[in-house]
Amino acid sequence: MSGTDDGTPAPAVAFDDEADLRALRGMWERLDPPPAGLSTRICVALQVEELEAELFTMDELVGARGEERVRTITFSSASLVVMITISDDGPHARVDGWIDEGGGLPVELRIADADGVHRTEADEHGRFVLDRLPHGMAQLVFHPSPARPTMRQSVVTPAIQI
Amino acid sequence: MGDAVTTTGREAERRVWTDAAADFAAYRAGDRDGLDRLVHRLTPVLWHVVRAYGLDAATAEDVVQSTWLALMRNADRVSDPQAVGRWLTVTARREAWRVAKQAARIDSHPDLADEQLDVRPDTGEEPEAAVVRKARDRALWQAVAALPERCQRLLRVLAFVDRPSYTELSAELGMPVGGIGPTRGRCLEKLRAVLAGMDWRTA
Repeated sequence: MSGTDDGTPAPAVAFDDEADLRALRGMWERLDPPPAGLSTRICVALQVEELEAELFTMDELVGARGEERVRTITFSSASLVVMITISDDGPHARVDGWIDEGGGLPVELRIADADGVHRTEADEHGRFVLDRLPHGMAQLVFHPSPARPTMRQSVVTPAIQI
Repeated sequence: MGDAVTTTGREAERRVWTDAAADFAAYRAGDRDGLDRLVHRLTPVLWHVVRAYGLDAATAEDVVQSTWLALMRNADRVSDPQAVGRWLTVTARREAWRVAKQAARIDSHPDLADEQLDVRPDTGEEPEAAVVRKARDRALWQAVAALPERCQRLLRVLAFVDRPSYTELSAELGMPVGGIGPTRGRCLEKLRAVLAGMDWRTA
């Protein structure tokens, strides 16, 4: 049995309750972990709540480009329409997007359990590219910006697998 | 019974709470990312605490999320950043307990699907060690399932929360505050007895 916290050996007959609780903890961590992406989904939910943001509705199409599977998703909200295609880029994922009248609009992509937030900005035609992305559950977030004065609140997409 | 856990592992578990306090202090001081860091740090702990109440995965997820929403709405009332970990775990347990009583959603310790043992990719572990660990995890899971429900709940909360509020626990478990320490000891003894019957130590 392991010793106690201060380094003295545990009494010979006593079991070490703390060590047993740690063994149980490890078992639960391995066998019943939180669902993938839970923390990120919660962060987005908090953001939606905080900004009283709108949630996009979503429409997905799966097609093929050559050998490659390409998914096209359209997100619509009262203030914004966004279309993205998701493709594989070697070991990474790549997102090509277009925002209607979205020139200069900042784009934020949050990926679950990865290195957090990826940011870019739409060009003057509303196009944007996010590449070398890790795979995972992701959500796009658009914040109000001088580039889009009609947009009063942030808009968040449902979580998608990229 | 525990595998040898280094002091570093134990310190890391404790550091979670002090790091959480720092995240929350940063958030309160206007650093919005502090809240996201806090969510990533403590959501796994809250998940286990909530699952201790036997809620199914979808309900557990809702409870964890509403706990965070409650923190955001009441951030001003948590006066001491050091207290944020306790505030969150108590809130999560209170909500999980309320939901568990209300709906018959108790799935106290479901059978373990075979696939569940293989979901986690082993990182850098020797194959033999991985096999031994999986066998031990499975035995431990089954042994816990053989315990009375209140032992299951108590042990899971205690495994993840350093010093939970005994007042709340005592109300939930229907035992006096002074009974929790001895009950924890008895639950662990029962667990060891079940494991002894399974030849777990030599597995």
